[in-house]
Amino acid sequence: MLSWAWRDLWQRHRGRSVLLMVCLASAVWLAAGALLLSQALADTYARLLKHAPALVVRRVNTGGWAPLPADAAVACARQVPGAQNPRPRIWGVVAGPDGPLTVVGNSLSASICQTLPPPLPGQAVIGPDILLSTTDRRLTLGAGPSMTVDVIGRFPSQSALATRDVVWLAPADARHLLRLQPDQASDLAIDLFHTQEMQAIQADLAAAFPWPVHISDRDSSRQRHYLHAVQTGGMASVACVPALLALVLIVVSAGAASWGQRACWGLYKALGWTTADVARLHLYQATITGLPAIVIGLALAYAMVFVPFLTPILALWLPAAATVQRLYLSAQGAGLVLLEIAFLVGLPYLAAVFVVSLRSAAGDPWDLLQADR
Amino acid sequence: MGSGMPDGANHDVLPGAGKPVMVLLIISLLLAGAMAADIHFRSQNQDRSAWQWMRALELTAPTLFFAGHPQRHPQNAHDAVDSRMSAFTILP
Repeated sequence: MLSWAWRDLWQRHRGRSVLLMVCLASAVWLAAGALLLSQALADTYARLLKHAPALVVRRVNTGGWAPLPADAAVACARQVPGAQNPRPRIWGVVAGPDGPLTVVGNSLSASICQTLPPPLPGQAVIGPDILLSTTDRRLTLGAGPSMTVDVIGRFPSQSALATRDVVWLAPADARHLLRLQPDQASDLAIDLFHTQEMQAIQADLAAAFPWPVHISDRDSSRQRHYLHAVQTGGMASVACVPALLALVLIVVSAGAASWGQRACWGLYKALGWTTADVARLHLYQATITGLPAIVIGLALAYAMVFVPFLTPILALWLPAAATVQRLYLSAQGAGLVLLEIAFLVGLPYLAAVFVVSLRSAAGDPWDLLQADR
Repeated sequence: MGSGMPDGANHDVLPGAGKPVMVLLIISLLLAGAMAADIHFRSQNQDRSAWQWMRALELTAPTLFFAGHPQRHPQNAHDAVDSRMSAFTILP
């Protein structure tokens, strides 16, 4: 039966079958690409933000951000029950040779420094995607107070999701670039004893500082990033509307093709086939065209989201993909999206073929033979 | 009347028709298997280095976007303030 189905497709409906496969694969690729990108962005954000500080306190004034006195800020934060391990951060955005870079000047723990030696004054460790001249391993930073540092290493390429544009400097160098005094910090990172208090504790924290502060929390950040991921996928899904319309037309045409061959089914039934045989033949034909088309469409979408050097192709119609790379691949998230798209496209297609073929082949063979006259 | 087939040939088989179906099936299975294997192997510890450095450097946002992009440090942005006026946007 399978061989018969293939022979019927290839010898009698070759053009239509190839066109059907291309259309199905394109519809699957468009829908799966948008949803996979959105899911991968959400997974990446959620995964990494779990390791971000629970709260960040920034001092603000009428001009916006202002440096805060590190020791005084730590002392104020310690007064608030539930706030743990307040630590000043030295960081900011400075001009680099090819655009802005994120400078970090925190003192790190000894364990992480075993993998990469900390920079001394005049030295820097830079992110894997920061371009650097191959001959001169020096980097000029800053537009106001500027300095040139020797690059002594790069963060591992596997850490690019966190360190892509980061320049790690000695604290004194970072302070100089960011115009901070020796006792000042950019802001204050705080952990919480009860993470459920993330929203409630902010009022107590704000009241504990003698100057106006702005507090950002991890949950809000996660929500903001999640919304960005959903919006990215949502906007991309708008582009899929014509593809979904095409999918409906494909399903309808698959049914109409069966209905137009009633005389043929009458002939088969006159030769001894049953209605179930005809329906089975249709299902085999639909599977021969549908299964490879859906799998190829899913594989193309998967490769373009999760294989970095193929992402620019996806960016041709999803601009958000141009700015991201090396997304986190969640087995649950990506697997569910792939299954969802496969069933979303495959089931209506098979159901339409089955129902129409059953209806078109049901009846007396003689009536079917007369149907096309 | 002759059928064009040699005498004694089995008229009930469809010579070679099953092979393309098998090829299509094998290609589909290979692609699906490759995706499943990639998902299985890559999803284990693929971002360990990233979150270790994120925690060590006390970073608050992943670097899916380069510095200067509004999404790079969105926690510092205020809805009422144009991002061009932000202290975290560096002018050329």
